[in-house]
Amino acid sequence: MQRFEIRNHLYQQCMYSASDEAQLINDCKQQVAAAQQQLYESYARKMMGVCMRYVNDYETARDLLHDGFIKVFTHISSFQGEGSFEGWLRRVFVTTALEYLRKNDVLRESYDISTSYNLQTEEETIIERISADELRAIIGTLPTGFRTVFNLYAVEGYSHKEIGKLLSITESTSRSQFARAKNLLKQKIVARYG
Amino acid sequence: MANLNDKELRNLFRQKFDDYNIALPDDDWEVLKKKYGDTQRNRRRFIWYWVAAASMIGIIMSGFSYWILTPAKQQFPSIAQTTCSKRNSPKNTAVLSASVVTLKKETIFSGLKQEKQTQRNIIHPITTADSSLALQSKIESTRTFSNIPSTTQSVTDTLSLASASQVNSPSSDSTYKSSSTTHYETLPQPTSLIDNSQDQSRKHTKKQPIGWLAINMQGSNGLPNGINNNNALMEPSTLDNRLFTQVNQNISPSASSSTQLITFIDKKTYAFPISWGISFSVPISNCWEVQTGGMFTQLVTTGKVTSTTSSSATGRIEQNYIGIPLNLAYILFKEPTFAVYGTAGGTVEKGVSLVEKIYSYNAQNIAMNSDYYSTTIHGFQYSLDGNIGANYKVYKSFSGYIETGIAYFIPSNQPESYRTVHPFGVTIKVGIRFTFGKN
Repeated sequence: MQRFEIRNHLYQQCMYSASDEAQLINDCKQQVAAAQQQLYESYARKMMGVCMRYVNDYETARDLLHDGFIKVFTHISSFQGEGSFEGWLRRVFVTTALEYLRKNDVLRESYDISTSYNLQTEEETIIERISADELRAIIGTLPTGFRTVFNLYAVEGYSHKEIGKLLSITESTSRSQFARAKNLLKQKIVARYG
Repeated sequence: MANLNDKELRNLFRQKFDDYNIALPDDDWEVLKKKYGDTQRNRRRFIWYWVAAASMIGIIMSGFSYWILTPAKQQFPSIAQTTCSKRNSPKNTAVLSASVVTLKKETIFSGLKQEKQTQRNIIHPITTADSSLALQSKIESTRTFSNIPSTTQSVTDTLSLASASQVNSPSSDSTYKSSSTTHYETLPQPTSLIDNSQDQSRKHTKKQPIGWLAINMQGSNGLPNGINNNNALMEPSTLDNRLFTQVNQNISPSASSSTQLITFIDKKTYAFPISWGISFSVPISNCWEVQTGGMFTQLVTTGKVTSTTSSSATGRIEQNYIGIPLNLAYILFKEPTFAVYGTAGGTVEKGVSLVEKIYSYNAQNIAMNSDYYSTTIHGFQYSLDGNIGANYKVYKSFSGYIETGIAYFIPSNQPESYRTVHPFGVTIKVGIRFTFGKN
């Protein structure tokens, strides 16, 4: 106990450097409060960005952020050092967001699109030009189901097969949702910035 | 115009969101820390639930395992049983006094049950003879057993004491005189006495119950303690305080600026506490039993605060306790189907959770807000109780019982509840017992 207190004190004096990540994780595994705070401060804003992409509501995203960090602090011992820690962390937050969406049954929302569009090089230019915040805002206007599949596929890099498992939908449904999300996004980008 | 393929699209969006972050309020870490602390406490509480439940099951299982696996002869000193089962008969007053002494001796030579059994065979004729014959029989029987080695001395000692008690007994009968004399003439040799005693011991064992398992429900009606709880001094941790705070939040700004001018009507009710439990008894003699087990009690306190602006708040606190009672019971009267007994003992209880729900209403009685508060209860609640009970055999091994008595909940720094307000209470307990072994 005393050891942790001394360590807490030390961490309050000097912040972790980037190379100390392994030490930070180990200390979080031992429930050192200062290390947990340091972990939070290192990743909270970025993870808030992840949460916001899925729920598009600041307060809900903040709740998800807290739930995600509680999961991280509780289950950090399951991180075995394989792969990047940030990748693991991101998966925790994405899973937390998906749990929320499933729980609130918002993934069932449907959206009918009769016309089909493809993102083209012009839209790519626009996307490069606008800020991430603006792009996130546009993605946020997509129906929840589309938005979720789009985020999982285009930003997190999950395959349609993985998305199907995560959302309890078929692979083809995931493909179809993604295609529709892409088309709708193009419409919105063109309408706003074209 | 070229279409973007999926790979290009992914790269585009990943780059865009790679370092994307959103600002958070300054106090966000503090909020998270509090939430995490609550989660940890809840986890600990659930661990307590499991520990308490596992302990109860462990105690009950080990108690019964011990009782079932221990040889029956060790569980029931045969002499003690014989005397206890007959002690209500006036003719056997002397038997009782002799047996009490014998039982003491038996404790000293606990490993020698066979010799002990011979004591009973000898005591019986003594108790039915007059004092002079008793003295003679003492001499006779001492002679009879003079060749019994080692610890047989206890038998002669017992006889001396038994005879001495019989000398003071006024009961004598000529019929018994003759029978006792005949008995002495046919007194078997020590070796056959031992075999005979074993047979009799078996007979007794078969007739005796080896304990019971019961489910019960208990209520406690507290005696007034003279403290007026309405508008009692509000401490920060009390329900009153939190209700008042809630009402203050809902009253109009102009009114809240002059809170001291607002009077409140405070009503607080403590629900009648009900306990549920499983208990079992371990007889330590025919007259005495040790009773223990596990019990669950929920204490509910409700409160209502109303302001002069008619906004109000109601609150409900639920406290859950798990406890282990330990009582010593003495059987006062026993018939094949009916028994009366007294118990005395205590209970140790651990509060496993305290949940508080507060609902606030505006002047139109429309729900405005709700607050949920959960915490653990530290420390233990100790109580003492004394009861008198009756048991009635309903069918085969099943019997119903009822107990009533008084209980005192020792102030143990526990959250406010019915028990803290009424530490003295009259209790009533009803239950069903399943008796193991034959009644």
